[in-house]
Amino acid sequence: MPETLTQFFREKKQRADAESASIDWEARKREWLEAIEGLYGEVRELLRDPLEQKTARLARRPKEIFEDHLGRYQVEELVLTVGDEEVVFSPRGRNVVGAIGRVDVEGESGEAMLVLQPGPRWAVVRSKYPALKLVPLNEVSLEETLRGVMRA
Amino acid sequence: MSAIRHPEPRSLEQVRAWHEAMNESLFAHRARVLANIRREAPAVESRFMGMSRGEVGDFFHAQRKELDDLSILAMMASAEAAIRADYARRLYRRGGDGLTREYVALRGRLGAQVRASLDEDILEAMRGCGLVSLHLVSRFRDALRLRHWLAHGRYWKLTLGGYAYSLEDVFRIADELIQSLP
Repeated sequence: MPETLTQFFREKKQRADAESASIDWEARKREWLEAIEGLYGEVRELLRDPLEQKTARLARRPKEIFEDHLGRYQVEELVLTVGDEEVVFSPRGRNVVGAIGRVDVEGESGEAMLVLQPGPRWAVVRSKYPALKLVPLNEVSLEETLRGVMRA
Repeated sequence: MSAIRHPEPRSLEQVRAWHEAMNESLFAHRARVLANIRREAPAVESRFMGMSRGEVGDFFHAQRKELDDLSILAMMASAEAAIRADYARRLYRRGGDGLTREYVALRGRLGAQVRASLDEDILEAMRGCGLVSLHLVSRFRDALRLRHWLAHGRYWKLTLGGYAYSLEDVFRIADELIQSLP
């Protein structure tokens, strides 16, 4: 291999290492996993009435994610079951554009996106076009989200 | 405000240069969006909100594919303009070469009011004049099928017989045909 290319690679690696060293990826992953747990707790709390009345139930199932810098790691999806219908809260990743984490809400009739904002706090992406509209996750926005992804 | 658009033909080289400039812009944009992920930059175009690195890559791959297709259409349109301009010049100048004679005969058959079809009339006249490589005409005609598919909304399945036609392929096919005209 030509020395110039070797040198080019060496310089790129040094820059990448320097940039990466300034970021505590393990801490980012830890905070991300904690935020997912926080979200699931929030959802459980917001759905307390239907859960207590047993019109809905929550369960978890494992999922594996691979991301640059964070490597391969395990998370859990949260599965909301209402009758014969499921809605899955599925973490997509920590490293996403414009947020510090993303969880998709997948139902039979649609999908929605939850993003983790600095704080940290969860928000629902209500629209991307023509302008970005984020609404905080709360009882109202969760209900709207679930109605949007579940069968009518 | 006037709605008149005056002639502004683009050469094959101009289309290729435009394509390269747009491609560079897409690469620069992709690099900026990906850098936003690393830096956790809050300012972001809304369409990319929440996208992973892979999704950003897929998005820009689709944009580049669309750019390639539209550039091929523009390239073929420029080639058609060059061939039609050459056709008009030959009819005006009435030179003595075989291609001009074929064109004059074609005009005689069609009449002055009927616009010659590129494929069925002009390219056929090229084939008949004996001065233009049949292989070059045949390749250009095959590329025209892709041009038609793009220009008419891509609503049918197009089989290109193993030839994928990159923009460079189309440039070479069109350029070689135009350069070969006597």
